[in-house]
Amino acid sequence: MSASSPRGPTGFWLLAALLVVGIAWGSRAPWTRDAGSDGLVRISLSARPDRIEVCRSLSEEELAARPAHMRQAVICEGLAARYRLTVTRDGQPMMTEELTGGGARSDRPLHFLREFPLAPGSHHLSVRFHLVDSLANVDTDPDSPAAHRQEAEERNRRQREAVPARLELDTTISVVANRVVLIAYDPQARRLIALDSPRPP
Amino acid sequence: MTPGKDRPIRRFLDALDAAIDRLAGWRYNPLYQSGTIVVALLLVLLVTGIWLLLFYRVATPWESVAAITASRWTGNWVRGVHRFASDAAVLAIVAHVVRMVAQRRTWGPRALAWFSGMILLGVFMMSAWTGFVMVWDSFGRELALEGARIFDVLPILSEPIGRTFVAERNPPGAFFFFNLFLHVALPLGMGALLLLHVSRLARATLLPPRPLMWGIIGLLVAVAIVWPLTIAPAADPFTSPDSVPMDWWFAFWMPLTRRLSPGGVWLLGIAAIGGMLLIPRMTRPGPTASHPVSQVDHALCTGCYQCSFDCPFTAITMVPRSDGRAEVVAEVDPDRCVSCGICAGSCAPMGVGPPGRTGRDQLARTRPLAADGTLAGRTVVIACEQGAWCHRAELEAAGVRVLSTPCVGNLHSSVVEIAIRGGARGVLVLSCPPRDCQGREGPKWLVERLFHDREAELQARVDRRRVAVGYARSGAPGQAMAEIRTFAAALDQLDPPPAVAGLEIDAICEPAVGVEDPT
Repeated sequence: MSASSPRGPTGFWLLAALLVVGIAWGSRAPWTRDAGSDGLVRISLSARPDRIEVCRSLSEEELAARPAHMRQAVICEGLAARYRLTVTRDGQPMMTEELTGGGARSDRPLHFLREFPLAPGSHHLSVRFHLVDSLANVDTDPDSPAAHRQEAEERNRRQREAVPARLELDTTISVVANRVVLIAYDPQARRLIALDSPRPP
Repeated sequence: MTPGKDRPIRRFLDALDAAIDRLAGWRYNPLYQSGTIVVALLLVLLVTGIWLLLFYRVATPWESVAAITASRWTGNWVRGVHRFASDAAVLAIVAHVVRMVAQRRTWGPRALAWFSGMILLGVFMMSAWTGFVMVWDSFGRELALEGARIFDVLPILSEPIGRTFVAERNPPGAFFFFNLFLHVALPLGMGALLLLHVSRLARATLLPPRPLMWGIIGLLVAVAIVWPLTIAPAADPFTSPDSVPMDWWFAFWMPLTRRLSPGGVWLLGIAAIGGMLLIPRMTRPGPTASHPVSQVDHALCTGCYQCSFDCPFTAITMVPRSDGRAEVVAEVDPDRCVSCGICAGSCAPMGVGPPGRTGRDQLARTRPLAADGTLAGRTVVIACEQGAWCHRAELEAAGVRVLSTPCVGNLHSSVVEIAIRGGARGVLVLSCPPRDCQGREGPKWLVERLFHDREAELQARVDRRRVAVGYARSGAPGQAMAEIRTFAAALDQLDPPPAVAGLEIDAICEPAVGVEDPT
């Protein structure tokens, strides 16, 4: 029927064996990322920004004009505050950046992540995280009725959860090759911290 | 020459195919089986993945994989096979893509397979990346960090994904559970996509020949045992290693993207995807290349269904006749027809095929050669224009008469009969290797028609000893010459060919145009 006489598969096995070894090698070959052996300072912040609000108490007439479920005693308008992050190392500025909250309206928690390579050794690091805007929480009616206390508490709770207006960290860090020093905001302690290993849980 | 065969990528592929054919023989040439090898490897991934899933723990990802790695006989070699099969799949996919582009098998009706293949590739890569992240070793973390860096530039999430991987502690178990979910769900989606990928193929071949498939699996197992896979150090947010053991098959892009901004990476990615989307348009033959859709001569069609059976792209259906005659008539879907011409070879009354390439057209070209004695006493080689035809000069130098056919599946068996009746010593049809036919099933149907009485069969009156099918591809003139030598040696054993016989084919085989259905 056919004049063809295909060769045996020996050649294929040789070729395939070589190929599979190549595949296995490509599956584990090391990748050397960067020359040198610096350490890293990683600044990773996540915090809820304070809110700049102008509040006003509604009059009895205004409240009466509203549907029952919308009778909020104090209405506030405002926006999330801005902060400035400044980092210096051994007195030399490393970065200054203005931070705003996340989300389209900047009203979500602010997040910041950046890494700086540093030569191994001891370095003095200074981190400043300051509020840029002035907070002007004005309640036009400080003598709010007791029924409205809950709303006031809610606003106070939000303020307590917000990051403090000033955070400062001055520390000497020991940078080790291929190791990371993490600068982060501790929301429980409400301060900046520098870590070179995880804290005990 | 067939359009596009002179392109560098086609020449490169032809040379590579020919080299592996010489080494391994066409039956075991993995380049012809690239698509089916991918499917076989996906099945390997499925089986090994289910086994590994039994031992994986989302709460302690690295520790559980380390335990698998430490278990030499029940864990690590399975993990090795899982990893190496995925790597081999990347290689097979690349070979498949290059082949489709080089052979221009991407445009028109094949565009659906091209686009679905692109999505399949994307899903496969994503699934694999989730697999590496699942381990949460230093490489998995690097992969996660780089992916997060690229995605964090998009204004979708207010919190950067990257912070998840650089916090004081490793991500929580919920992250690895989600990752595991994706690693399982994405391959399930691939199954549906695979069905779409082959949806326009009739009798889609999904697995390679068994010796090849089990050979590949055996080699993967062997290398996983002989050269066991190790596990990289556990991911540690407080380390920044200079060197990371990396799977280059899946992370080949990382050294490049690390040097680019996220925006630059997106631009590069969009350009690459855009280029891939344009491939069907770029590989579409120009207006000078003719790829006419098959047409049906309703006067000749007897409604035998054979062309609809043989069409490799399910482009032909049988529909009720509208001319008052009984039975059905073939109808070609122009959106599915790739102009392979296989239907022309399947039609006994020669009533279907691309214009200029029907059985009737083929006979009209061959009969004068038979009539004027050109073929008398000669060995006739009918070569596929996609394959051995490009070596016609060498073949003719060997003393044979070379005729061409766009595809051996397009060749009508009556052409072979006419050549024999014209006094030819014998007819050797030089086909592309069966798994490398651009019409998919040309060689298969040719053999069936010449030797196994498949419609339109070579008539019993033709001496089969004077007919043979050989396999020779372009770029390998030696293959063609070897086939000719083998055939010539077989012919030498026969008596001299009979004198020129009548050249009129039976009316049942070649009725006059417009004749009424004898039934």
